[in-house]
Amino acid sequence: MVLIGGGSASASAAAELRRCGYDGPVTLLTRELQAPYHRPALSKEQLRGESDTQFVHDADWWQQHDVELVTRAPVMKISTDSRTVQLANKTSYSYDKALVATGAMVRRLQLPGIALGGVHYLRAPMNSDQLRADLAGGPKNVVLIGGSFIGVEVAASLTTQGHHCTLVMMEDHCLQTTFGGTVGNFVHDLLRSHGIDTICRAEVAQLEGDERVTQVRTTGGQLLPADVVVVGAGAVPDVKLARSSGLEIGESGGIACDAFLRTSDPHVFAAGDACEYDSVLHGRRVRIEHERHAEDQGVTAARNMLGDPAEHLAVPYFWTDIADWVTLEYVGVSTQCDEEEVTGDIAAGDFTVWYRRGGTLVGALTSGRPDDLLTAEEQIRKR
Amino acid sequence: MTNDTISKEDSLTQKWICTACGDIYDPMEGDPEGGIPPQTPFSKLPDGWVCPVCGAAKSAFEPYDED
Repeated sequence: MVLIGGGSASASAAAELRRCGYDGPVTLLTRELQAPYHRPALSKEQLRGESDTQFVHDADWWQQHDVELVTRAPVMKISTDSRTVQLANKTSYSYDKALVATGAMVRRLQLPGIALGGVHYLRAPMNSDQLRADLAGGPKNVVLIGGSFIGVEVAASLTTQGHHCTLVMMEDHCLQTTFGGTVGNFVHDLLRSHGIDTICRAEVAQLEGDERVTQVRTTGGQLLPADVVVVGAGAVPDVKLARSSGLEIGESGGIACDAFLRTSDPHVFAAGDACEYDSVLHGRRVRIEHERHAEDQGVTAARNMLGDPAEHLAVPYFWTDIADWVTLEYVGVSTQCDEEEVTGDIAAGDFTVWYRRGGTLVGALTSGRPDDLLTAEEQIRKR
Repeated sequence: MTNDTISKEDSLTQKWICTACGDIYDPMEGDPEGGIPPQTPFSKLPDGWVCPVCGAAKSAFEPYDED
């Protein structure tokens, strides 16, 4: 078994293969410089200096479970005819079944001034460390581009470190595109109560400065002081290897898979951020970017790789920690709804939003009421 | 001019690796999605070019030895 990609999906698949009793060779190949790690921590504990890189498995796990971990090993081609994969250094590995879990790439912005020093993206541990280093030496003005998870979490983390953060986003409110108006308003108020400025329904026109950025200009003409800029403009599935190896790519840009996470080649499976699959639960093809989903898909893929036909049925679960101010958790298949019911006390941060479409529950988001998510998950699973 | 006199930065065959995430820049492939055509040596990448995977700066790249 060859697992390609060094993220949560591959790490989870490796564990599941062994948990299922498979005792044949398992090799995980990754271009990353280190073992699989928890990416969500990069905008949270690691950025705040509270922890080093958080690895998915302990250092001795790989040897204990007889999984060969090969880092700094970019896979350049999957030869589906001969069932081999080739690394950049020309080494080949043969496989009975392979997993492509190549994750996602940052969406790079093309803007005047984007080449100035002080601009940061966030995807790998070093990005987090370099951002942290660039913020050393006293409070800074930070402008964050994008109102989704990266922008919100990083703004919160950096605010706790004494920096002044301004979020610029196209959405009406932070996280509104993902979680709807109720949550969008809640998060907006939460961020502003901690001194974070939000500039909504706005776009960045250009970054300005000499060698380093000093200010950000919006298309509306606002000038925002900026010692550092953090870009959280979304991610793009990394399907370069899949495409060049002849695997079918789906409409949303992910590796096209069936309900069993099998690609267009019967011996190759996909999981995680890069995987666009036929979801029985959603009733359509979806691609989801979140760590728990990647872990769950790693499990499903492993079972199918072992010949146990298992449709991917795990109800998607998301979470976000906004500093230590609030944790939002979500289960469901959609936030496109015609009804948002709120139970609990929003002002107190102790509430659940129930998303319904045509009277049917499609999702639920909670702050502080995890039992509600269990209820929601059960209802959604039975749809 | 022989290959010996072409610097790594100017070479079309010298690959480069991002020290943040391990992505490989191959000058023969370029980075079309980033506006970099095939056969663009590392030296010709704009200063503002960043790693397609993790967004790390050009300065985070180093020559990649295929050993």
